[in-house]
Amino acid sequence: MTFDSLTFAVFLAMVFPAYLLLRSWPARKNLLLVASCVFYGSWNPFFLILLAFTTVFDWWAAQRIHGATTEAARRRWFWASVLASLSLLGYFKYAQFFANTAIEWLALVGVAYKPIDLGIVLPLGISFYTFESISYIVDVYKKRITPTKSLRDYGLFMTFFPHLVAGPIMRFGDFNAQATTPRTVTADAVALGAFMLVGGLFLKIVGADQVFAPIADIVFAPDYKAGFVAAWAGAFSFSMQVYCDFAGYSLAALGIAKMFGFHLPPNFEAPFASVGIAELWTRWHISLSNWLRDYVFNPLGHYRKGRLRGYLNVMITFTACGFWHGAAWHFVVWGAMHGAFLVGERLLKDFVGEWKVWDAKPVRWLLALLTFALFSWAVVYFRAPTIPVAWDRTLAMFGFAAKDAATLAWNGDAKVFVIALLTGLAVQGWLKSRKGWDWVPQMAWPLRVLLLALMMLAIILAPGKSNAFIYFQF
Amino acid sequence: MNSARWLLVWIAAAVITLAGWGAFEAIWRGQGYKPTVMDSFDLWSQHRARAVKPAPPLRIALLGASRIQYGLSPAVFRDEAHKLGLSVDPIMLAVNGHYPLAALRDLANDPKFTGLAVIGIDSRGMDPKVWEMQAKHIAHYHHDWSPSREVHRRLLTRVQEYAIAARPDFAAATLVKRWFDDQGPPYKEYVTFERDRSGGTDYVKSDLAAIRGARVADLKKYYPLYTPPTPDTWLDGMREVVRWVEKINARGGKVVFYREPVSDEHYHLDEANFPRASYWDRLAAIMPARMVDFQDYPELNIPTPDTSHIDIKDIDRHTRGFVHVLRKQGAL
Repeated sequence: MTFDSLTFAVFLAMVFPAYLLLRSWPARKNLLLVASCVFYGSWNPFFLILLAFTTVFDWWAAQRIHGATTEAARRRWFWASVLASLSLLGYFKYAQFFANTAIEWLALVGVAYKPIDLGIVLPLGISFYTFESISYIVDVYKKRITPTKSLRDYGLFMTFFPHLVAGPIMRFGDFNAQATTPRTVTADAVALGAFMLVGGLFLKIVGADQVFAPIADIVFAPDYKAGFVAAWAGAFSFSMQVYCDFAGYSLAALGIAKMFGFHLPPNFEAPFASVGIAELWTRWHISLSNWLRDYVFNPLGHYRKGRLRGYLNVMITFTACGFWHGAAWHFVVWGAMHGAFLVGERLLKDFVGEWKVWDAKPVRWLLALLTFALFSWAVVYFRAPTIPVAWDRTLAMFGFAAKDAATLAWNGDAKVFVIALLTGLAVQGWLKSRKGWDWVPQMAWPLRVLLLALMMLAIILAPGKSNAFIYFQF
Repeated sequence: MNSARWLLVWIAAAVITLAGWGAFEAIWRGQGYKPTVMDSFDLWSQHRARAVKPAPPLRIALLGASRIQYGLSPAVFRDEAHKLGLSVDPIMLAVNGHYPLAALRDLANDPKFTGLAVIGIDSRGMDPKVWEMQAKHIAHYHHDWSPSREVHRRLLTRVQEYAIAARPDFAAATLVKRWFDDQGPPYKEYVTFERDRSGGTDYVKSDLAAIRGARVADLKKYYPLYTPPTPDTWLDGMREVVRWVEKINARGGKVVFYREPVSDEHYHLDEANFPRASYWDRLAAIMPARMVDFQDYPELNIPTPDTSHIDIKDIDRHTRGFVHVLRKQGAL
């Protein structure tokens, strides 16, 4: 069930009061574990079996790593666990991609095979929970944490329903500190959590689905011939759509967890107010960028092994990031573009140095807009169904559109999009200096009422095509 | 103190939200608009799941496009069958604007389906070129339908029955866009739609001459652009359909093909392109199913005001008549 479904409303209306009624902390954790399994199994019970296997195996492997008396044994268990997790991810997410790629490459050398359909259904959230389980195993292996003896606590870490399907990607150390101490549910936290849930649903249902998706859907249709304006409008629109979709999901997840007394790490903090792509990645999908930094970039050697090696490490990390997002070459290109942007930014800093002029406010605004434009250019490769479509839109964005290219009609869709885009960017600028959501309770209460009522009313008055959360496909 | 303030915030926001929603409903209802159930892949899947529940009652899958969907009432069907001493569960799986043979193939390939499949179709709708029109519905049922979607859809249906705000054409963003485009209020529908996926065309509420004119004009434009397959080619393609029907028959199920009433220009254009004797009657000779043509049964020869669909007031008569025809044919 998704957060924006009526099923979830019923689910929450049953689980939350039951959670409050239970007095003992172990009983509450049992309830959350069962509820999380119901939440996940409601999509497809088979997915639950797979998740249970990963959970139990990694929990057990961590015990073996911890209890091993020799380094060789520790290493064996470590690799067994990591390979098991990666094998499952590889099979379910990438097997079809590799089969297709092999057939395409063989065709290039004249060997023809019919495309094969392996019929593999991607289990929801597998990319997210695989990263969580790998981080657990790595942290145990590196002796950063002690493995838990409680399968229930580890199971709850893996399955806790607010973050299970699309993050934020949690670390066991952060979660376990909360799971081992009884959570206090306060009225303030429930009120703020519910406010965040409404805010997240507003972003998803109104922002992503109703306002920004229509323009992106037009521009990224494979047969559409985009002109300069249309291509940029489509790119900006999808940037905002994917932000509203994923930041909305993450905000709802944080809010729901808060209602239950848990703290999840923030995943988005006004990314489109960033100056530079490096800053953007400290504000966009924060839990993933932190994970990549800690478990890919740093182990590769960071910048410690020299500048060139550092640039290469950045490229490897972000290409992997693209591949993590989706088993398709256009995602790889998207990741590689971000890697290239980051390397370019680093080169500027290394060779040009810090200029005072860059600190002037108007310059920073311009740089923030440039950052948004670069992000939007790259996002074309994220949204377009194939590289040729993305390349066609790229040509249009840089003034090489086809002669019969379409100009986006200046109609209601476009006007609503422009108003929402400008408003959205202004709000991001306003939010930039505010960390987390502590500013909400500090707002004057009539303003809070107005904001909450407007968001709830907008959600009620936003029926229509309910798009799946974009990150559920990963 | 802070908690009390939060409580006040939530209560005040809830009151404003409910008042705003209430005002929204009152304004549009005052202009003659009504709530309505909206069709979706989920609603189709919810009913498709019923088709494979074990008998009794006898599961009757009503496949087809708009003529079945707006021409037969599952509730009236059940009632008339009950009068004949039969326990049946008619399930509306027709999809407006989508020919149904992919759905028949899906039922044939589903070993759990042992009921009666009624396929509302004409010879044009059996051309292999249009077989896959309902493929997305079927894929959704097999790949995306889940218990959580079922709960959501059942609740959503309830909301849609009572709230205009649940209609996508009344979404705030849509209304704002219409306002920007100077398009005025949303179109007043003359088509009704119910939670059992049946509907009706209420021509009293419509500009019938305009609808009829547009429908005929569309068909006149369509046929010259479309080359019908020769009768032999068409019949050859239907041999695969024969195999599907045989599968259902082998499990104890039955299949009925029903050519629903059409009239005037529509009838003549259909006949000109797919003459009954060359297509339908030749198929009847090889198809192991009942073949019902409306022309052969006076109780089914009901007027179609727009040339293609019966009026909402005739659904009752049409459905009861159809039940009796099925009975006579031995399908019930």
